[in-house]
Parts: sequence; C-alpha cells; structure tokens
Amino acid sequence: MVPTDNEGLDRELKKGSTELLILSLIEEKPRHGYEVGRLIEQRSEGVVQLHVASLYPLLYRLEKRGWIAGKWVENEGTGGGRRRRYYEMTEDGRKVLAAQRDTWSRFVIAVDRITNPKPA
Amino acid sequence: MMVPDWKTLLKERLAGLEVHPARAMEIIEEVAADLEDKYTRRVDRGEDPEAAKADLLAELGAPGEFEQRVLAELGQFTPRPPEQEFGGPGKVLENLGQDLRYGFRMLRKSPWFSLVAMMTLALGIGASTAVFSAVYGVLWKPLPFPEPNRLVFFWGTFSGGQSAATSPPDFLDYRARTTTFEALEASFAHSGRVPTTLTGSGEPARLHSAAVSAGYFKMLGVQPILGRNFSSAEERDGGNGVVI
Repeated sequence: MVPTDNEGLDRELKKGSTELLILSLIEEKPRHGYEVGRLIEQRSEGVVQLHVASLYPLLYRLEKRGWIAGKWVENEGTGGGRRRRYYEMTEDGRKVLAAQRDTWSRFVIAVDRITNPKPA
Repeated sequence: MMVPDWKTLLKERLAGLEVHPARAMEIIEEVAADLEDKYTRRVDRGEDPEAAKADLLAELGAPGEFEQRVLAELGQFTPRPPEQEFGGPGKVLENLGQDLRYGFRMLRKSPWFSLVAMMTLALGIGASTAVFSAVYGVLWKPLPFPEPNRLVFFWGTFSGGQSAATSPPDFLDYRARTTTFEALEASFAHSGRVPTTLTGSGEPARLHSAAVSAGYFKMLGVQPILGRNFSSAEERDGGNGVVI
C-alpha cells in the first residue's frame, strides 16, 4: 500500500485557512464563538470542525491584533439571562480579510492549474 | 437528566490558566456557554449525556493544552507592584478625575434615581448624626472640669430603693468622716434649674441658680472669672447668703 499523508495535508490546510474562515463569518455580522464554530461545520458540510481548544485561542489572537473586537451582550430572552461574547469586524479586520481572500483565491487557482492541467 | 455545571467543570480543569484573573473568568464563561450549547444540542439529538459530556471535555485537548494555546495568544499574567499598577500619584489623580467625571455623568443621566439616592443618603446620614450627637453628649462627652473621671455623684435612698436628697446634717457628717474621697460637696438643687430673679441696677434678669456648699467650685477645680470662691466661714448656718 502506498503511504499517504492526507491527515498532515488536511491539518496544514486548515491551519492556513482558519483565520480566513473566522473573519469571513464575522464580516457578515457580529457572532459569538459557538455560532462561528457551528457555521464553519455546517457550511463545510462537516469537513472543517474547530474544537474549543483551537477556536477560542484563535479568536483571542484576532482580537489582540485588532482585526475583531469582542463585546459582552446580555441575552435577555432565552438562556436565562446568560450573556455571550460577540465578536465584530473592525476596519483593520476588513482590510486584512480582503487581502487574505485575494491571496487565497490566487493560491487555489494556482494549485488547481498545477494539479488539474487543462489538456493542450 | 443532570445537566453538567460547565463553569465549575472548566474552573477545575483550567485552574492553571495564568492570565489576568478577570480575563480567566471571562474565558471560562465564554467557553462554558459554548460547551453548554453543544451539549444541549447533542443530548436533544438523543446522544448519551455522559458520552456527550466526555466528548466535549475532550475538545479542550490534553491537560494543559488549552491553557498553553491561550497563554501563547494573550501572554502570561504577572501581578505588577501597586505603584506600577496604579501608575504613581499623578496617575492616581488622573484616574480620580476620570472617575468623578464619570460619576457626575451617570448622575445626570438618571436624575430621578440620583435624587432618590441622595435623599436616602441624606436621611440616613442625618439620622446617624442625630443619634451619634445624642449618644456623644450623654455618654462620651467629658465633663468640662479637670479630671472628670474622678468626679462621682451620689445621693441617699429611701428604704424602698427610691432616690432621695441627703439632709444637710447627714451631708456634714459624711464630709467630715469621708476617707474615700478627696472632697465631698453638696448642691441643694443639683439640677441647677432653680429660677431666680436678679434685681438691682437696671432691668431685672431671670437666672438659674443653685445653693452649694463652700468647697463646691474648689472640688470641681474651677475658679470664678470675677471675684473669689466661697470661704468656709460663709457656709455657716445663719450667715449671709453669698452669690457667685
């Protein structure tokens, strides 16, 4: 059997794209951590899953860099008055996201051109 | 079904989270809410509660993994000495100014609440001051004489225990025989509220007076502003009354 390292590739791809995924979801509207994690899982149809040990340190990193800003919001409806920390996009975050999207698109196209060459 | 207390579980599990204590509490609250939602969703879907709980705790990774990742992003917290924490005297004054301005803005923002709060405080402080003034005047305020702690007041009693005045002959006997007190003197109207009318030159004046024994002022350690104290000869029965 030919040895493959699909898990390693998968891990590296996730590592390289997670910031982009989180920023993209928060750009739409302010979201709390659970919502971000769930949407990543739903929209990737289960391919990408972020555990709390990965998601929250990443959120704190993005917040520390000033790309997102966290704010506690009281939930007066359901949840028995429990408050949640919502993250919203900052102006710096929008610029970074635009640059990361562009880089990612060019990278995906370049990889595709190499891995799936069109017949001449 | 026993719902896990995620906050308590996380507090135990993340005891080594060496970020600022307030930040650590926020992180625990935030992650606990996440795990609680996931737990509810999984149990509602029919998963075994214990298995769901174990699975979710495993999301934190190996012991210490979550803490290390958070510390890598936020940096380790080391408490600063107080002078650095508060930024020296200049910074303290600046902070005080900010706090006062903030407090004033909050008061203006809710004028009715502020008014009720101020009235409550005013009533409370007024009542406390009144009670303290009364207690101070009655119990704590020293008498206006030297060594007031050496002054005692005593009186005679009837057989039933009722207090009663001491007769002049008894007083003279007590005074002659006392070895306990340095001086023993009498006031024949100890309340000091005997109304008296002073006449002579000019308009009559209403005064309060008391008849006392000759050594009364000497015992109290006070001197008249004008004139002299009573002499023992002036205490004699049948002698002329002398007024200070």
